[in-house]
Amino acid sequence: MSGQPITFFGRVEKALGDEQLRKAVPFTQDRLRAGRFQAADELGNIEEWRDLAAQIRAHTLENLDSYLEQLALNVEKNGGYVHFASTAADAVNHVLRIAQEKNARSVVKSKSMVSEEIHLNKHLEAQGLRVIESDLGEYIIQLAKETPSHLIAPAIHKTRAQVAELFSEVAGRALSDETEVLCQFAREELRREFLEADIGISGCNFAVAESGSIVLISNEGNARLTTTLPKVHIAIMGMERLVPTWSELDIVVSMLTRSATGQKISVYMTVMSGPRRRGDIDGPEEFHLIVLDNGRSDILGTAYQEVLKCIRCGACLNVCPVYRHIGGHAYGGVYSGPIGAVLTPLFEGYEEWKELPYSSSLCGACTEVCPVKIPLHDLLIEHRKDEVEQGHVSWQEKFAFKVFGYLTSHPSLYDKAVRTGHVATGWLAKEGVIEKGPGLLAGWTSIRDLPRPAKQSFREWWKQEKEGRGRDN
Amino acid sequence: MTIKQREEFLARIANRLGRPRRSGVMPPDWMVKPYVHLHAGLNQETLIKQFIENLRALHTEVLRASRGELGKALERIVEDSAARSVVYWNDERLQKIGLDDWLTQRGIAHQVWDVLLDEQELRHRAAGVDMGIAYAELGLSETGTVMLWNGGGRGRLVSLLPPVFVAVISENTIIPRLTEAMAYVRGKMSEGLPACINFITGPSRTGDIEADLAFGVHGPGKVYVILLQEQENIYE
Ligand code: SF4
Repeated sequence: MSGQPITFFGRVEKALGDEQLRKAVPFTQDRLRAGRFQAADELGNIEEWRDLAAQIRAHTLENLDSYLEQLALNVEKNGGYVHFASTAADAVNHVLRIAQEKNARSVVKSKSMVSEEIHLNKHLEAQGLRVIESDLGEYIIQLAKETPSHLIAPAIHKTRAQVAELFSEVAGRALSDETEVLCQFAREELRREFLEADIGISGCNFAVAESGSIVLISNEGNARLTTTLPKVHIAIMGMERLVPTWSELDIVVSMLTRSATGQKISVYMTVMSGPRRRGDIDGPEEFHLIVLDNGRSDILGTAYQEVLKCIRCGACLNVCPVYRHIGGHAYGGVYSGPIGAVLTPLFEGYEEWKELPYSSSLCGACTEVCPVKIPLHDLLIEHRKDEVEQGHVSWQEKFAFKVFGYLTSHPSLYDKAVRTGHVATGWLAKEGVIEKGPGLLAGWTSIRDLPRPAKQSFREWWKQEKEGRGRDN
Repeated sequence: MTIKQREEFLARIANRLGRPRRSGVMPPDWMVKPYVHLHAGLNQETLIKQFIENLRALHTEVLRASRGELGKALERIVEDSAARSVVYWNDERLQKIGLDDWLTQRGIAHQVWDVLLDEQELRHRAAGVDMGIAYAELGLSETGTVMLWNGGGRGRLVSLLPPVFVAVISENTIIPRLTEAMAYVRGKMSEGLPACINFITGPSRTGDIEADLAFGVHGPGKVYVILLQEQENIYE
């Protein structure tokens, strides 16, 4: 997290002070969400699709060992190598070993959240390798030394002027801030990198067990270049990201692109089954698949198992009132929005991430839109219970966080609260509950002026709050 | 990776799921088929029209041509795109429609994807030409997608490196949607799949700079589809 404050409330404060972010996040949300709803309308029976997609994902998880075994055998049959990595360090070591064996000097990457999760770039660079992100958004934030702020649109927080500045620096001359000029520059610059790179590293949207294939979804085509030009292709997948057969692939892909951007299908869907065959003169000569656990198996068999159904479409971010207000970086982890709020504490523990399950108003919009029917807001409640039970969160904190969740999902109130003061003098600060909170919460007393939320009268809400306090105390 | 490590990894999963290790599981026959209503009762001509409309919406021109009119279609594309050099698949379906002859007569520099040539040389050529031409296996009506069955003389870089891409496809191979394409692939699985199958839907695009739509950031920014009319329409 370069340049990001360490505490949750610190990050929120930073995000709220960022003009571009406050403009760009709602804009992106509206655009993607509108696309998703239109795509759902066009299908006419979205609930049937969601039911089936959810069943497919649940079935795959229930039989994960069997399908992973089948996948591995088929990748090998296709002439590829499979590496099972229990931890992030294992995965990184596999990549480093391959890079060393190949005497690699440069690596080109296409967007992969899993590689963010294992902080791969940092480790590769530490070994003196040149690492280039090739997705345009990722390239921009790599130059800016930042992290993605949205699953689908990683650089939404950057203005064109900022992009022009970053690119001009690389170009060594001043570039105009026209989209076409900037894209053309990126095309030429990255094309050169592609042609020279020794290794291409990609994520994996889905693997198909029955044929040992991996599927990459992209609009720009950088995933194709990454997996075609370098001599070696390494794909890294979260161990849950597979489907039994091509029939199931149909359903999950149909859901993924529609939920992510509203597209009926992405520009490119590329299915690779091992390295180039005899008689091919393009495509990688060597293919490696790294299957990553990194805390995922710990989630199996728990109340949170369903979170592993996630296909990383980002739809839950696009409907979340809290995400709208604070943006992706405030969540602090690799994954943001409702899915991040559920996943990050599972991967990294409550100690540092206890606020995340409260970065939600529990309005349930995320659960309603999720294409694989993960009960996201139920899982957030589950987290809250577990946090209290395990002694990570006191009732005061719990209360403060709830107020926070409420306020952040009602931006006008939030702004009002900030304006009307009580800054840093609030009751919460006196209680010593949270260091950064009160400045932002702007005095919990102002919640008394809250208008009625859509689904619940304030009285009801307030009553619940009080009962909640009594119960948990 | 030793077998033992793999087995430990998988055993841990089984253990977490609270049951003995499983092997050889097959997916159930999913009773729900949510896609059926989307194309039920549509005839081939309607599917073709929908295919064309979907591509037009994605800024992709579709030229319907009989085999005799191929030259006209190519002429239009060459004029529109100002392409002066071409790399194309070594594929008998392209030979049969006389692509090679047309390019020669028209005086357009062209290079077939000949696997006997030097790899670096060919790659260099593909990166330098204006246009790539391939023959698509299937077309998906619902999305305007073409499916490319790469391998050997059907090089994947042909549809990727040049700034303009032309897919030639027979109108008899337009199918409703992904579902039929998946069934087609599964049918070929016993023969072994190629290392790469591409599903391509319109030009390369990005919205990463202030959500402003831009084409051609990595792949071809301009795509044309030549839809070959068949004398004998097997569907009608
Ligand atoms: S939790 Fe559901 S909606 Fe959110 S990213 Fe995952 S699949 Fe998409």
